[in-house]
Amino acid sequence: MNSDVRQLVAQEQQAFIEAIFSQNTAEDKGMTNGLIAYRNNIKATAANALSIIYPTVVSQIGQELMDYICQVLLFKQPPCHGDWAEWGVGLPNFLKTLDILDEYPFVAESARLDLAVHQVERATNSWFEQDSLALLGEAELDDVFIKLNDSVQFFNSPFPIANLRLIAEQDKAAMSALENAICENNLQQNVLIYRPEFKAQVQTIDATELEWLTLLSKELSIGESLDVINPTNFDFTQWLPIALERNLLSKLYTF
Amino acid sequence: MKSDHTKLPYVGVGLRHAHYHDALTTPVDIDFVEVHAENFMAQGGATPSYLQKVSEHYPISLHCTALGLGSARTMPPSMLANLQALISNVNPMLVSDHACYTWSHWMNKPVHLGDLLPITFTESALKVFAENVDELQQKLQRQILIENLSNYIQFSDQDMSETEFLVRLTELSGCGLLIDLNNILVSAHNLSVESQEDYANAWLNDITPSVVKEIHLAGHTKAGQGELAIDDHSHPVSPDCWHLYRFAIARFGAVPTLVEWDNNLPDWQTLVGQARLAKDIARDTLTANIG
Repeated sequence: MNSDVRQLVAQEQQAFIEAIFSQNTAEDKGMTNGLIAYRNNIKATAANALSIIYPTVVSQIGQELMDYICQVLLFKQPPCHGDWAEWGVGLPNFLKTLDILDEYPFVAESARLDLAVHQVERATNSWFEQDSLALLGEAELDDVFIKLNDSVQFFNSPFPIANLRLIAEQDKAAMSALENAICENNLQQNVLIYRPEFKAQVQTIDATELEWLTLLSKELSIGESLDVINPTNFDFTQWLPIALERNLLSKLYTF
Repeated sequence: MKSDHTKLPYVGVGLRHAHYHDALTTPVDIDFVEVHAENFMAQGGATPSYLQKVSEHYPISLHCTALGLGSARTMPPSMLANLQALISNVNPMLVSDHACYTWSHWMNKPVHLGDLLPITFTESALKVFAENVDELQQKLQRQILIENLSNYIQFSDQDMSETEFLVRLTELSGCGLLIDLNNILVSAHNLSVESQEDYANAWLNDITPSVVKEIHLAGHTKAGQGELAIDDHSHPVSPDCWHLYRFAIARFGAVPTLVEWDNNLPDWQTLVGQARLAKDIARDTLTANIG
């Protein structure tokens, strides 16, 4: 097929999309009901997609504000993957730029956690390679590395986002009290998001475990990582069975 | 399969999230379920595992909503890989998508609008569509069915009718057609035709019977005169749609038939009851034809 034909059709299709989202008021008057129907449907689908990914945020700011934010995000970061479940990853950072949320900085952090849970629940199914445990008896710890599963995320937040997520749908009064406390106190949390089977779990962890996981994810060996962290706060032999139970690990390996 | 395909069509229902549990725990006499492919394209997690279990209970039809095969901008390899993996996992009896486009550019960025955008029925659009379908079918090594859309907008410069476009698409690409009877009725309303029944019957008479591989039945919220009807799948199959189904089955024969209900969902048994009704109507119609 002549590439000019494809180019011609591409231009027509692009023009139609621009017509759907035209912000020109004069043009809107002449817009047919059909174009408006397409516009409304896309906006509604986008809003629904974001609400599914970010339930804590919806609970905190309300559906109306969420829908408005969704519309703005749609123009700034239009979907491009073919799956609405993959759209909206830019929301946590976008929320940080909104003046309207200046006094509620924990909302963007809650979005960060919502997104992590969503991504963990869609990550590749992976189970620990049991045979690799033998490396603990065969090699020096300085030479043994741990590969974490794709379904594991962890990070520090300046806000108690695990608690905010937990109470978002359960207890409005408790959420309001916690939000007030956030403004007055340092309530930072380290969170670990993992998936024993299909349902993502959110667990708060101490600074030492966060540092430990961070070192492993930077491909330091077990021995090298143990040298860095404070031994009084961390016991590898206690951590390992819990990590296996939580399905954090993919395998042990050497180079 | 519970039906004898030589006498009655396979009849199934669209499987939506609200019915996931019931579909596995409550045995029902339906011949297949149809799922939206994109809902099961995650790399891992609960949904792929669930679909695997469903495939052990029912034959599956994969209905895609995001391939956008009429797009001049072709779909990225990642989408094709996801679809190939899904097909490999569940071995679907049918794979379909819509006569629409969705990949394009907007504000100088590549975009997938996540909606079924209407194609113009022109020679150029037909060439693009046929080339995309042909390429996909070659990569998947199987036939794809293309579904007619509800019509919400009229383009002024078109070279052919919708039915001519669809039939020629099958001739050029070897694809089959999924005829959505509710969409024809929605289009008839939105085009303000004098007789919706005459319009719908003429539409079906324009379609070559051998290319029709599936029929969709649904209901939609009624719109007043001059108002746009929306294909919202929020009601039981409408009386007009049942009436048209009799005509379609008489013309096309025992074609696999699916009841779609996506919004204001009823309970599982009510939905399955619609499928039973479809089979009864098909039986009556086909028996009368033989008689």
